[in-house]
Amino acid sequence: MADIFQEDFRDFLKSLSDHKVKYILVGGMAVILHGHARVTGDMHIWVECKLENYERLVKAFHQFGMSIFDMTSERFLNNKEQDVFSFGRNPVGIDIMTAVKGLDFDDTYQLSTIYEDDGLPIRMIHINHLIQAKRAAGRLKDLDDINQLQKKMK
Amino acid sequence: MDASKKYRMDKTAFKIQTFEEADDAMRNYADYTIKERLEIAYYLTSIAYKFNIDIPPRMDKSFFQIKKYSD
Repeated sequence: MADIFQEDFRDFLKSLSDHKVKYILVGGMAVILHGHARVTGDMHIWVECKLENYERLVKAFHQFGMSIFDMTSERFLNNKEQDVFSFGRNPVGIDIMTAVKGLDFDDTYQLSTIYEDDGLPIRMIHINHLIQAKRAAGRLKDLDDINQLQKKMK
Repeated sequence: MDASKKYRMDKTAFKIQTFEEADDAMRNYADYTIKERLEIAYYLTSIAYKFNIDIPPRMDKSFFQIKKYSD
């Protein structure tokens, strides 16, 4: 396999980087990067929920060659009931998240780290915050992720 | 080749361990590099979603939905 990341995922991450979108890679891909290889059909991107970041994100989608559909600035900034915008279908789906249960974006961003894949910088969540988010979500698969991630920390 | 016939049991291997140790042996990826872990995960995903790893699917850029994180 030439690239580590699926081609569309890689293209999207590059678009985010090119347009300086403030984001953090969370979810299953972050679990894999932090030490537990498991199935995941989508990539979860947590983005800062501010207007200027939304505008950068829109430009990134344009570069990526995908419509933003109904992810209007109004929905992006003010819809607290629905905070995940899902693009594409698994196994190549991208979820844009404006909130992550149990975490504050600025605190999480501060501790996040850059992983470089063939020159492509990927900002990923710190393992402690990932575990914290998984604990707050509390689904069965989150509990399994916590169990596996904690093994790495021993 | 049929996947069920591809791998055979190593009948020379034996050890005694706790349930937790046995589980770790199967799933502890700590010694793998990030690249290796991503490759393993991608392989597992190809099995789960039934696609050929050498002909990876492309993103369906026509599909969109809004949902709640906990959904």
